[in-house]
Amino acid sequence: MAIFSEEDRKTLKDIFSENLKNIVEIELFLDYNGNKETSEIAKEIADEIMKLTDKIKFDIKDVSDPNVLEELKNRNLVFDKYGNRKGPLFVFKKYPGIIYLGLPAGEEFPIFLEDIIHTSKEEFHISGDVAKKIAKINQPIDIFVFVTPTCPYCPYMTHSSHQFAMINKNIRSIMIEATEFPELSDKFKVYGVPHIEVLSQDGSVLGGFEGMVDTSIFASKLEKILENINKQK
Amino acid sequence: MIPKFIISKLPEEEQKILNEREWDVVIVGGGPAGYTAAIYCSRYKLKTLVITTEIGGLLNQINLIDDYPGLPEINGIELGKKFKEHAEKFGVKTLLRTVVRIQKENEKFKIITSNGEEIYSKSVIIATGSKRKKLDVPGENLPGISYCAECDGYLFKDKVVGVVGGGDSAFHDALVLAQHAKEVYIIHRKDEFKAQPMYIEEIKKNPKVKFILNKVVVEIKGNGKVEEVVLKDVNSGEISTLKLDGLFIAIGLAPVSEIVKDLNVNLDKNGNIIVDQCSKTNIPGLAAAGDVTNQICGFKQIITSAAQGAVAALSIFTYLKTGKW
Repeated sequence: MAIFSEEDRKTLKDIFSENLKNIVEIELFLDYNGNKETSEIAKEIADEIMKLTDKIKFDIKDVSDPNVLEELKNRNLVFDKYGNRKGPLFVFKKYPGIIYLGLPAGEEFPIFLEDIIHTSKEEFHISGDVAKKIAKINQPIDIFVFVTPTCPYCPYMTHSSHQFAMINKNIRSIMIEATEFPELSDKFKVYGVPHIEVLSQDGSVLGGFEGMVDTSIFASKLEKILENINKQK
Repeated sequence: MIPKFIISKLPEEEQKILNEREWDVVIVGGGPAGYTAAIYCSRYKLKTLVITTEIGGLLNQINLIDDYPGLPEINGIELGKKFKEHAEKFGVKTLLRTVVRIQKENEKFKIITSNGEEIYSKSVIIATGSKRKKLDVPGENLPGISYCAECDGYLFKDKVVGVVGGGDSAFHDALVLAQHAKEVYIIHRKDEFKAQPMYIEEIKKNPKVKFILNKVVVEIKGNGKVEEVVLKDVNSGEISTLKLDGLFIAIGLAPVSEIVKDLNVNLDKNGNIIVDQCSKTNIPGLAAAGDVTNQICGFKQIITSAAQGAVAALSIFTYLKTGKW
């Protein structure tokens, strides 16, 4: 069965032709050993989207290729150290802090489209005070945003954290589809979503919280987590 | 079908909203009551702003709505977005923010957001809705306790879960969870249910769902996550335990009315904002609608919230026109 219905394809085509300005390039790493089914779907999504517009390019790679795996490791893009599932992994080329580990499925799909549009137009969707707060972060961090496809609150958190990553190159924001990465989710005790973990980019956990908050509260929580860690140093 | 866009305003568009000197009416809350009030206010030609943390409110937690006239089957998230779109068609603006408090300054209302912004309005409609009540027992903060089956059901694939409660929410949750979990226990303090008979019929047909009746949860235990609940029989007092991987709490709703605490608004003993049948509070220019109020006969439904929203809009329109409350 096709991934998008005829109606979906038309909707997407309209969205792309109305909203895309610059070409958006996305790297897609597929892991047929770790997550076969969703890797197949991810490839299908990428292929379908590329048929609908010439302004989105997916650079599709297979992690079973040792060179690709080496590249992932070198770029510190192996996030699931517990279940050893490496994809599907989407990384935006121009804004490499915008990352999806697992399918941007269900309620997350509109955010994936928004990320594409915002990066294409180079538009930032966070207002002054919050943007200033985020811009100040000067240590490299990863924000894990665990989600499920039917969670209505999760897209708000993915959106905010991807905006943070767009504003500040020190931040990588990784939406993680919790059910595709059960070992990683277990490790972080994800029994409710949205679930946020803040890590240093060497993998040590700095803090986290569960539940949806608005963008300004999210930024303040992040600020507080980093403040506490820096005080302890 | 591709879910609709929900978010992004450009900072400039947002700034335009924040730069408005004064609104005719600010509606706090983006659920059925809030957006219905917004639709009516905008048709009364009032300059209308909805401030909400999320679009849809508690609608977001409903998988399938089948009791709203004209829409025999619709997903809750979808309906929330439709309400918003409908209101925006008439010029209503939405600001995605959490309101932390509301104050009265001279004759105006000052609405303060989580970001410290101050927004002024001639009138306000509170439509902040409700949230799930807590059990208030030891262990309730353990990971594995949830108040949203729609969000977290996926995380309990092939696991054993419990649902506490006997109303519509509990039965809805049990049905959602039965799609993922191996077994679902409905734990209820009585042997009869408040849930609509249609739900009860459907649940009884589902082989995954089992009932534990006349029992209350007195403690939740686990090493770092939910592993077991301690139950007490309401008749005999007998204590028993049940092994579970997750527990969903659906024992009713508590109004979200803290933001009006500076305004001396009359609340009932449960924290509901007391309104008359015209959705007016005791404060001139301040109306309230939906789950946050003491109306309508305690029947907290999408349709009753929407109805109250419409009535609140009329009260505000009349107030702004005549000055009378």
